Amino acid sequence: MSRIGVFVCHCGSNIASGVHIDKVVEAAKLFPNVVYCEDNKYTCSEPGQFKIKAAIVEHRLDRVVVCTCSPRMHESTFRKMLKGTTINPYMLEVANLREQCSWVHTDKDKATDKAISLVRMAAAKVNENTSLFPSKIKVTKRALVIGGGIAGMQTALDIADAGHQVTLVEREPSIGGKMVMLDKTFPTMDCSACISTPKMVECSSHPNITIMTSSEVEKVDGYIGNFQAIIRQKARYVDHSLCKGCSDCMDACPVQARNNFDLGLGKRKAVYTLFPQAVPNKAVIEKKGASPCKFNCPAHLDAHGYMALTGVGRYEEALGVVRRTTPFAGVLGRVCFHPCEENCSRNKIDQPLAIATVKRFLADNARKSGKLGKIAVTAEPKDQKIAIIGSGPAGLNCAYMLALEGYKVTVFEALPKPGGMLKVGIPDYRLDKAVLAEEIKLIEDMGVEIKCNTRIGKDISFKALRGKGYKAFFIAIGAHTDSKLNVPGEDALGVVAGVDFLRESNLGNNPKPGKRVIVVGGGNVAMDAARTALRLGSDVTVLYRRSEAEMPANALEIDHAREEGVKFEFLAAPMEIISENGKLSGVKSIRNRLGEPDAKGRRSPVPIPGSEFILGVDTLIKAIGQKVVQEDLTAAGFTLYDRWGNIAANAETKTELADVFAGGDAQTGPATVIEAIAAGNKAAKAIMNYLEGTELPIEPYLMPEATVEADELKNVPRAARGRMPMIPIQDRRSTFKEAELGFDEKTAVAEALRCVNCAVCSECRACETACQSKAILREQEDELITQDFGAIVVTTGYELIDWAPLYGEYGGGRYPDVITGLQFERLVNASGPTEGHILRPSDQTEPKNVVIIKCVGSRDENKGKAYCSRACCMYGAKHAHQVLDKIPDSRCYVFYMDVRTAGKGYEEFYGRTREDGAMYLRGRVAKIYQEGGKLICKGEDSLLGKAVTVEADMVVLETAMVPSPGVVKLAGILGISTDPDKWLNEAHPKLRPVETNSAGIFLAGTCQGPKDIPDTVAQAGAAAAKVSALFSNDELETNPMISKVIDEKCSGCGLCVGCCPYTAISLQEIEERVGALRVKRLVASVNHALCQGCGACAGACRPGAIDLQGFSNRQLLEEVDALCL
Amino acid sequence: MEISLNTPAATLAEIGTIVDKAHVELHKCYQCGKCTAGCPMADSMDITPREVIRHLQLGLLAEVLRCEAVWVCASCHTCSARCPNEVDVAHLMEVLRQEAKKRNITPVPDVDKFARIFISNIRSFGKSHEVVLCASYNVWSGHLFQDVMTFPHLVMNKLVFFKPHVVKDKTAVRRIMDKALKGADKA
Amino acid sequence: MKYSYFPGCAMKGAGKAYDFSIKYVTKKIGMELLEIDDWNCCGATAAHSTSADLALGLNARTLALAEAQYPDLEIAVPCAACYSALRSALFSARSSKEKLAKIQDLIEMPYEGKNEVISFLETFSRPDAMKAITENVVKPLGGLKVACYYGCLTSRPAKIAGPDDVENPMQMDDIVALTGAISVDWAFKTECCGGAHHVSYQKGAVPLVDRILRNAQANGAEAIATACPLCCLNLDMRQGELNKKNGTDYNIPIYYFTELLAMSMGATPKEVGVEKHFFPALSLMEKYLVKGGSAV
Repeated sequence: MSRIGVFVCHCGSNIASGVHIDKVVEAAKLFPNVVYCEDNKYTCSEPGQFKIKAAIVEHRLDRVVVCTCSPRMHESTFRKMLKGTTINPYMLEVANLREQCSWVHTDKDKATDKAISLVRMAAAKVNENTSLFPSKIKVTKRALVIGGGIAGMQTALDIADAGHQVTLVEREPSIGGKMVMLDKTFPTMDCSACISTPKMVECSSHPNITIMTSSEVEKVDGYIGNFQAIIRQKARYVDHSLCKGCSDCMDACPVQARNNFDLGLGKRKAVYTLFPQAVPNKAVIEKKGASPCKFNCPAHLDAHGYMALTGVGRYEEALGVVRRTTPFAGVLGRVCFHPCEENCSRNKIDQPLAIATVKRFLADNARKSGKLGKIAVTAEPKDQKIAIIGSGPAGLNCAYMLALEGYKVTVFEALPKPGGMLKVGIPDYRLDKAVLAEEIKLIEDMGVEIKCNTRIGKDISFKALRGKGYKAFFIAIGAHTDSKLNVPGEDALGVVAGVDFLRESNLGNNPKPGKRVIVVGGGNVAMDAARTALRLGSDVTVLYRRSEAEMPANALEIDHAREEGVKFEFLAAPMEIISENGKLSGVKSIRNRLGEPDAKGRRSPVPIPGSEFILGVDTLIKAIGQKVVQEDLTAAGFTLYDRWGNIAANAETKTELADVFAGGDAQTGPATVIEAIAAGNKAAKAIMNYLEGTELPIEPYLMPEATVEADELKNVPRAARGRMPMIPIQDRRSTFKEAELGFDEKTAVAEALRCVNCAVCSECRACETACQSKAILREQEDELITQDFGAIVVTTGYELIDWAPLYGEYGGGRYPDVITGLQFERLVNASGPTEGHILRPSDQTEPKNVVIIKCVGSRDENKGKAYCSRACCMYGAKHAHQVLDKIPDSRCYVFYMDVRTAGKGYEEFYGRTREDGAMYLRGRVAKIYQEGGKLICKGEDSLLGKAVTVEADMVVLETAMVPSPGVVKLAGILGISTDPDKWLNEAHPKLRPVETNSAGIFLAGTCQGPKDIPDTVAQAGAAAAKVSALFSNDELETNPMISKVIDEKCSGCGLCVGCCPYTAISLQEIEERVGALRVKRLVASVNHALCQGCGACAGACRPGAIDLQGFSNRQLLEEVDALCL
Repeated sequence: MEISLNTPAATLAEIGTIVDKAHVELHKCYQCGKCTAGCPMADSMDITPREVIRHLQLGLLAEVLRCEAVWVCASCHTCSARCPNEVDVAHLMEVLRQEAKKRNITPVPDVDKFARIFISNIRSFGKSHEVVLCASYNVWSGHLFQDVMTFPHLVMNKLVFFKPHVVKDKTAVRRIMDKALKGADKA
Repeated sequence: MKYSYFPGCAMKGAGKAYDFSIKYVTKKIGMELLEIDDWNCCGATAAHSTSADLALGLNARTLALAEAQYPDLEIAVPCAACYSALRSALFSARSSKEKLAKIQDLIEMPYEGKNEVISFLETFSRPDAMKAITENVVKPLGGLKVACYYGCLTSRPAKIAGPDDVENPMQMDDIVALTGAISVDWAFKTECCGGAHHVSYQKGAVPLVDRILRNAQANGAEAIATACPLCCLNLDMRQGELNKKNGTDYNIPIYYFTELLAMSMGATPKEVGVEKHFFPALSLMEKYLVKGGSAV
């Protein structure tokens, strides 16, 4: 027989006013096993507790029911009390007569009935309680502080001073938080930096504090005293062990990025420190990935890089950036079909940057100023010899890359001049061959030998070359023969191949195509052939079997051809070549219509019966595709081709012969110059790997594409793409002079400055050159660090509400001179963008009339937040004071709803501001609009009862604080809760303001709710004290109210394992005797340290093999019975 | 003159029903005056929209029912759109107009006259008819020559029609109007 | 693109230019408008100021007719006042079964609140319409600086008026941009013009027009585009007066946005009644039609 004592609390009048205590007492006395019952004004008070202890002795009680407030509130109080008695602290039940009864019911009699039921249940339950004994776990005496603002710094310092280790994690590259952005602090007006920067230094120099900047908490496991945190150290691309914090890299960086620390009021470099007093004072690089221009370039040229350098007039460096990948800046600038431009983010707002033309400018400019120079080979000379077959873009670029590495390279060219298709394929009016020659000479000057008139298979063979000591071969012979039309009469005199025709013309053997020329085909070779024939005085018609939309030729080429007078016959295909005595006279063609799309999605032509027609012609140029010339190679003993007749090689340019590599048109079939260059570079890498036995990556280092969305660009000023000047149209028709003239310096720079810096860092690598201590780590990656902690303090702070989308009536962000309070702090701050001069962002003039509007986004449940943001009244007053103080004969109008100055010296400060001349107007501004350079603010002075208007030069919106971004995610990681506005919840608004409901996790500062600096610092101290108290024990008592498995009942189904949120349950093998023999089977087992006593498993367990101690199935059933029976 | 705030319960109840009709919770208003500040007609009002609310908060119904403000309101709804506390001021103004009409209080007679004419216009044609409308308004309101200068232009450009187009089923329209106006004041 | 059409009373009178231009444009872009047979007046401000039920009844009748005649068509409404009145009726019909029953009883007609009510800003903003407009613009109004004026009732009350931004709507701006005109950024897009007060309370109403014109002028507008006969009439009729009375120098012709569309599609100003405006609106158009025309 148990002996239960029931103690009913009045809680002053909290319970007594809603429940007839006496009735409860009378009823309780009659419950089974209740031997004693009394009531008490304040049971939790010292005398109250004493009476319980006394009763325990006097009535030999062995268990206790206390009928009082929520167990959340005082269960622990009474457990502590019982420690000093003969009763185990867990022989206690608390009946909640306050929160769940007296406070929520109005009918006292009904409330009393409910109270009695609650007590009856508690009594029934306590009757089944058993003594529980907590076990001990050791405490890791290291604290994790998340957020390096003033709250985080103060917490860290206080814990560290108490002699414990602290890791301070900050998302930004420097600690300091919002406070260092401020200029002065109310009400004392002492300089914010002067009082917060010393704290930053103290943190960094404190032996017990480890600062981790550019870091975020990724995952947290464990429990009070024993947390494991995984922290992501984001790549900074700078080795902070080497960085000296000098600004050489920043001086070298050509990129102008948005300065987030100045809230967009100023610019900073892509490599930067957050602000001059940053801690740590080390540079970081902001890299969002690879800019689309680079990412989509087959050779991954650092387009963003040389654009950025061109923008600041550093042309030689810019050219150097191009030459990291290829010496053909001038050539590519003219003939590249620039996938970079197709993918340029500016497409989303106006036109893409003219990237190719800027590259051309770099080369032309260098030539004009005689700065084309030589390309230095820094690598150690190596003695391996490499033979390259073909001197086209692929072959020469491969030679270039190998030469840069110090290899001995010989290039064999069948034709009398080097350059491959660049030389004999592309007409002079597109590419001035002097440019080509000079850029080839750059390669020769590096020691590369080019042997022309040397044809593989005829003059040389692989065998012979191997004999001469060549260790590797790169086949890049291009695709120099034409595909056949396969129509009768094709061999007639006057039918020529496009490639042959162009070669003749380009080698200066000026062919005579005659009056009427027909070009068959729709590709770029067709366009080149047509425009060449035109310049040779012919009347040219292009015959293409599909419509213009399907033409594979570059659109610009088609336009140019048309401008120059080339005619087009679309949807027409030749059927038969008509010739009189062997000499071509006409071509019989047929009209097509477009049929179903083919595999590539191109609609295939379908002949229209009976639509045949005949065109008279003197020369017919076939330009329907090129093929690889196989004869020579075969003769040279190379016979590996794919089914298209191209050389068989894999993506890494390797053929089946270990020492033979192949790339360019010869491998891929007809493609673009830039693709050939990419292939050449890959081959060079592959060959080096082969020769050195290394396995370096074949592709250049490339981050994921950094795409920019259109709405991120909506505030970028529109600017038209630079116009390409051309020679007069008559010259274009009659001469081979280069048609496009390229940009002058002014245009090129303007063009480069249109760049929106998609990836922020342009990867120009100027910083690498500038950095004396070689600290730049271009290819650095994020790092995950795992560490144990005993306690966690969250100090993630706030940000300002994004007011623009909410307040269209205030211009919705369209007026540059309507700024936020924090932006004003930067303006008035000596280290801010204006060095402390208050100037309008729009025109950098000093505003005379300044309007300050309070409660923007706060106290506005319609558009923003319902709550009062608490600090705004005071910093509003501060801003008014600063305006009046800094701007002579200025006026300041403050629109307010109420002025809330609860704080030491606050009301006096408000008084002084009015004394300074601030005009306080009680009312909310309804509209701000621009008229004649003024910002008109319409409000009501509600004290006057009249609508009022102020013409302002600048408006400062004192906007609401909201929790800093990502706090919800963090709360999820930590398993703590947030309120509807996403502020982190404290455990109790009055009694546990810096604790959360998860033991061992604490809060400080504005992550818990809007507050000012003094309150924040006070909370920080409090949180630190809590942590220190926790760390004062070496061991902690664990909660014994955890799950317990009854092995006999457990069927080992494992359902509980899955439903345990703390991964505390696992299946383990036990051995038991069944009759004579011993059998092994699996049963659930609970890790006492991990189990948090949530009871999910107990609910899930079908055989009822799991009991949550203190809430055993038995206890709960007794409760239910007590209520129902 | 001093105002007594010991408003009779009956009046408070009346106010209650009125604001309920407008779905307005008076206590939500903290008198910031954003409604007044944005009100295009505020200059012409005897008391500001904010003060209309304030009077009701204080239980001063009579003052509100006899003020011009609720009649000067142009129903542009700017106040309601911008109110930080979701007080539908415009709707309240409308309900107050209706209440005043019920009590035959029309402090700005012209506005009321126009409404009446407009409605009788609909009663007779089923569609509103600008000439009849303006002409009869000018007569009734005594502003005989208001906007007569515009008339020639209207005529020359055939912007007015003298043979009013009417709905076929006039009776239907009338029946609806009469039913609707039962309770409200007959136009 | 097919809608049942509620012209509203003004379209037969002062709003002729609006009527003509809508007809012209919809014809061009192949948008079909089927006028609701025997529709009645929406009652405007007068009705809902007098009695909520009156406004409800008048508009519910028209809606019920539309539902019966064109069960699966949305109802397109040119006049902002009618649009707002009809939509409020639609909203209360949809608010609850009881309300709907009350309405049916009031109008003694079957009505289910099925068909959506939309403005012409909406019909023309839809992708297919935008596309059709673009294709039909033959005489772009190259560079004409237009302030798009939406007025109250196309944007407020927000829940009645529909999707666009209350303070800075863009629908009309986007449509007008298709004509080659440039829509200026200004602050009075949705400020009230005074509405019916221009008849019954002039002294209070006229200053509103003044504010609107001032801000349009200050932001470099050469013309104002409207989407409501009453707004158009007020801005148009008062402009000359104001210049006389206050010595202002406003020279900002007022158009219906549909007039601009029509003319960019090759309509002659007379076809759409540009000369019918009080404030001379013809010469500016002619100037730009030449400019624009030659620019093609």
